[in-house]
Amino acid sequence: MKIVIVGAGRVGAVLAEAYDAAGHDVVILDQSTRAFDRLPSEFGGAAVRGDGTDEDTLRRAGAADADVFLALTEGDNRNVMAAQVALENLGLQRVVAKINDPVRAAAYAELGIATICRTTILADAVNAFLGLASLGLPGVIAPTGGHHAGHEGSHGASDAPLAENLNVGAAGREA
Amino acid sequence: MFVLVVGGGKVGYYLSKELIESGHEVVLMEKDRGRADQITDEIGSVVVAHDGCEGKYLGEAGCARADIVAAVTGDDEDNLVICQMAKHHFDVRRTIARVNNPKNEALFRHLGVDEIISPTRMILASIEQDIPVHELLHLAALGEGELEIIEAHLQDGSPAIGRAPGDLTMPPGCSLFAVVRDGVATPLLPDMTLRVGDKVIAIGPSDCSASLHEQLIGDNPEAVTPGL
Amino acid sequence: MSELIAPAFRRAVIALAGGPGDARIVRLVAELAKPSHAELAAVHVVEIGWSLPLDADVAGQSDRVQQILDAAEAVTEEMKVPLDAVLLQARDVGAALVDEAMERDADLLVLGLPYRKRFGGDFAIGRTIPYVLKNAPCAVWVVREPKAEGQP
Repeated sequence: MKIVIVGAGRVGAVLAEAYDAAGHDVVILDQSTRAFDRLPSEFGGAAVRGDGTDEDTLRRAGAADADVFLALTEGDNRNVMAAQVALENLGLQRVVAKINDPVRAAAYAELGIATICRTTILADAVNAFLGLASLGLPGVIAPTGGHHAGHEGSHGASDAPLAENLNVGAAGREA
Repeated sequence: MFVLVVGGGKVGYYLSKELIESGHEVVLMEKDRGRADQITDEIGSVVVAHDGCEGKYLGEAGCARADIVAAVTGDDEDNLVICQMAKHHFDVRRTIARVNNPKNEALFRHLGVDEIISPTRMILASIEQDIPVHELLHLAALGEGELEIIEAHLQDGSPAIGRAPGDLTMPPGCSLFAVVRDGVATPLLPDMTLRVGDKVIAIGPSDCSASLHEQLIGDNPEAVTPGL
Repeated sequence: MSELIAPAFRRAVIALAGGPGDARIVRLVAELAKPSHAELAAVHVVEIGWSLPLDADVAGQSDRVQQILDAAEAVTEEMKVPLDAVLLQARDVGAALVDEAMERDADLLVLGLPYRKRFGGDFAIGRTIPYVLKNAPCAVWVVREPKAEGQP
């Protein structure tokens, strides 16, 4: 599988290393080359310095034929935008964005983007450890509609592969 | 009208100021507390010192009853998210985004932002107007960005010189609709004769540039604009 | 106290916060106003969030607002001092008070400051008082209220 990861932070780097070790074709992008220090020296994938919200940069990095696209930078909005460039301009299907603001995560899931919200995942993990009830907010949200670009009428259309996106979310958790 | 402006940089500041002076109700969101206080001192208590990307604060700033939301921060991704939240979460009728990277214009339009303001594009267009351009000039994008208004400045060597618009083979979906001759704009009639110096205005799909170029500009190698 | 020289003010605006301190401030200012027949206005500002239009009928719906104005009037009636008690709706209390003082050409603005601590234990002065101190055209008195019973 070809996996493109935008953002070589802790999560991005850990996943890039794991997917690479598992034999996947990995491309990781970050705006800072220093971020790539997190990758092990034996990392066999491509590390590209550049703006992951820029279509040309993504194409140059070879993202246009990715099977999976993960937007995992530190900025919620950068992730939202990178994910939408991947869905709309590159025509990718399995796209996941990390959105740490629970309100924004839910809103974008409604717009058809699979979202991972670290805030709720961590809070629930703490509660599980302490034996307390979960917050009741989902940490991984499958899109509730096909990605719709904001035109009336397409809202709620489920022509995008929801199940596939859901699987990506689950894979992200396991790794 | 109630206008919600997000981003208290120079653009947001002057925009809010002008809107207030012309009698509109304005609220300006600026996440930097110091900057927010400074603006409050200058234009009054219309500033909400919170991040307009957060759904909660957009709600508190009255997004749900805004007639227009203008996202004018310096970051394209923030402006996109603000407009999308406004549109889909708060049902705002009209959203305006400042776009810094001209390459993002089509994406923003496609993602439902109603109006795109691109300072980079404007300055670029202005520069292009000052250069004796032999190329096509893209004047404006229409609708979702699939249609464009294009100006062609007819020069010596253009295959259209001396011919009537009706004799030219236009790409599908593309039509010539006006000519600017000696500074006067007139509707283009099928039987008029095109001359050197005419500026022909065309409307058509954005991918018709190549064949328009062939018909109106020609393949004169010297026609390549120096410096561009 | 008997030696207290009444400061010269012709027209004072008193901010009513709606707390127990209101009666105290109104009485104080009314006492000082009485000998010179200075004019008194008491203003209660209802802050309207941006999610509602400024002219939304918020204050009119509330019995509490009327009680705040009535309580202030009760104090001055007893003292036989005239008081103009009004209600304002505004986006920001501080700015509304400053505007009101300007509009009435007041030479004194009086505010109460309840004793409060913010999370973490620091004394909290809030936003309104610094704003008024900075922006009011006239003299400003801030009357800090005593600590409430049992308050740390």
